[in-house]
Amino acid sequence: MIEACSLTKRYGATVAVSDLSFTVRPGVVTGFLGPNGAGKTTTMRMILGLDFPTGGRVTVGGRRYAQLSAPMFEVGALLDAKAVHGGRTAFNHLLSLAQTNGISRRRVSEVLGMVGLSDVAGKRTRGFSLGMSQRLGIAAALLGDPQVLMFDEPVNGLDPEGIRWIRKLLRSLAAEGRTVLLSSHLMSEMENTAEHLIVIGKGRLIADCSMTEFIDRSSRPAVVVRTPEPAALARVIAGAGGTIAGTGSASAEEVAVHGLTEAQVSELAFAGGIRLNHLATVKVSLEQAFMELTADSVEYHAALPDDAAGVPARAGTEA
Amino acid sequence: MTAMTVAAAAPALRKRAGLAGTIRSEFTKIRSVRSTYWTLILLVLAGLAWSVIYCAATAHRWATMGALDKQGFDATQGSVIGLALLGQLVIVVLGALTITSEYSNQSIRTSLTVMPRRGVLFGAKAAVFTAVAAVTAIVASFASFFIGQRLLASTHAAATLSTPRALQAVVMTAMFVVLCGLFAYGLGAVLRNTAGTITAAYGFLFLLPQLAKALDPTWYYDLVRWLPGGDFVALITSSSAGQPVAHMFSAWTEMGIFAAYVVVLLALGASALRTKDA
Repeated sequence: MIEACSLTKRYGATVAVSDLSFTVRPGVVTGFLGPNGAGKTTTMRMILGLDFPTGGRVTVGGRRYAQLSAPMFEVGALLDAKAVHGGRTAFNHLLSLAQTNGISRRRVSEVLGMVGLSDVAGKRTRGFSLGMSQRLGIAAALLGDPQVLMFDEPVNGLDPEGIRWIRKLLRSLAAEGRTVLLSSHLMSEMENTAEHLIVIGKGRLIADCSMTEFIDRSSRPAVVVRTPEPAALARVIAGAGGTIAGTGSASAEEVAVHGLTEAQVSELAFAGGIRLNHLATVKVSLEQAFMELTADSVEYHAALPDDAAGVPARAGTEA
Repeated sequence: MTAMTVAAAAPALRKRAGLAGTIRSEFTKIRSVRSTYWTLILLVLAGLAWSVIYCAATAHRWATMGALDKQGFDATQGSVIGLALLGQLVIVVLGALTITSEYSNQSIRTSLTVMPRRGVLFGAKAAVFTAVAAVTAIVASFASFFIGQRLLASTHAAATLSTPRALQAVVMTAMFVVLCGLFAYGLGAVLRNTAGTITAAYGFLFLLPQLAKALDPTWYYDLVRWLPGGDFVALITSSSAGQPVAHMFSAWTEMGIFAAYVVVLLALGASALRTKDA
């Protein structure tokens, strides 16, 4: 369990993290999301006692990180996979970490086996691909078999097989009752792995809820309809309390209906004698929900030629 | 790789991260990178090379040397001063890298995650560096001394360890080398940058005493006895055969002053590590 309470970090005039409170619970994978510069890494560093908070506090299992007597047995963390001395072999790198907490050489070999690096244990890490470095970083986090695990962008540089492996690993770790905090920029990956989300933007908490809740909160699923008579459809939809929006499609015949189910739309169209060529419920993806909720807190906006590509182009008025 | 049995592997050991384990860890770190070996080999070679070249050359021209030169010749100093002067250049690099390399590749964060008591990490690094540097410097110093004296045998001016202050000079040379390394280590913890640390250490150890020579002689003599420069090295490496260096304090007092600088830098380094974000 990780608990942050009014956590604040200022660098001079810049506020990196502001009054952030959240709890990461055991038993599920918690995704840590936020645009670049939102303060994710700063927060993770404060959890690990690397950066000192300007205000507030954060504890792991009820204690500040610096008070843990054998931290590797309680917390395993992967922050930056490339932050190793390239001239040292994978085995010696892990051994040097293990020794601080009195962990055996046998365990070092064991974790190298778990992450599939046994064959390169004696190789200098300078020649490692990013994917191999990520595996090495995960091996380091697993050395003490800790109850709390934190991974900053662990799937970076991994091939699809490696990504699947991480996903399985994180889920099995959580299923064993551990606390797993995972940050990633890859929304589809997060959607596949995390059950709970902590979303921050500009250093502030935007959401701390389950994945489904987060997606539902941002916008309800839309029913996409194609009809040669959009005006007639709009009338009956409005009459039934639904709202209609464009979908960003080039065709004027395609509209998105909010507030009504697929069956209700079908029923209304049938009753009104309106012909439908297409009728489908489109689930909102985590990415769309995330973009919507963090739109105001993105630090660096890129100029997009057409921002209206997302399916529910505007989520109606009653969000 | 598909079978994941993480839970089964819990090592049942005494669960405490402490100084002993951190010292073992730091020893693993220092012995598992090549730069350590290169630096230490270079340190020994620099001392030996000087001793061989200087002592062989002196033995060769001994017959043609004037009586005054012969009288002022300090065989002890001749054999070990190279280790002091060249060795400090080398050990400063190793001392700096002990801490700054962890900042340049950011592995300091991993080190502090596995050992969050920062003072313990700082002390363990210092202890391991001191042990490794001391063993190497003592071997290099004695080897330089004996090889030099062997080469000077034909002159009958060679020293032995029972020559007054010869043993002291050999030991102090090694001490000086180790202290230079610790000086750079402390400075590295403050500056967190390899190039900056090495430059600053060279500046203090070489440049400052040289610049002081531009001052009025009386000022220079007042100042230089507080600096570990060339006169300092001449003093600590000399045996009773050498000429007295009148404007300096005694060799042990001078060593104490340099050690005090090192203690101050180590304290500043420890404080920087403990109080600043990693």
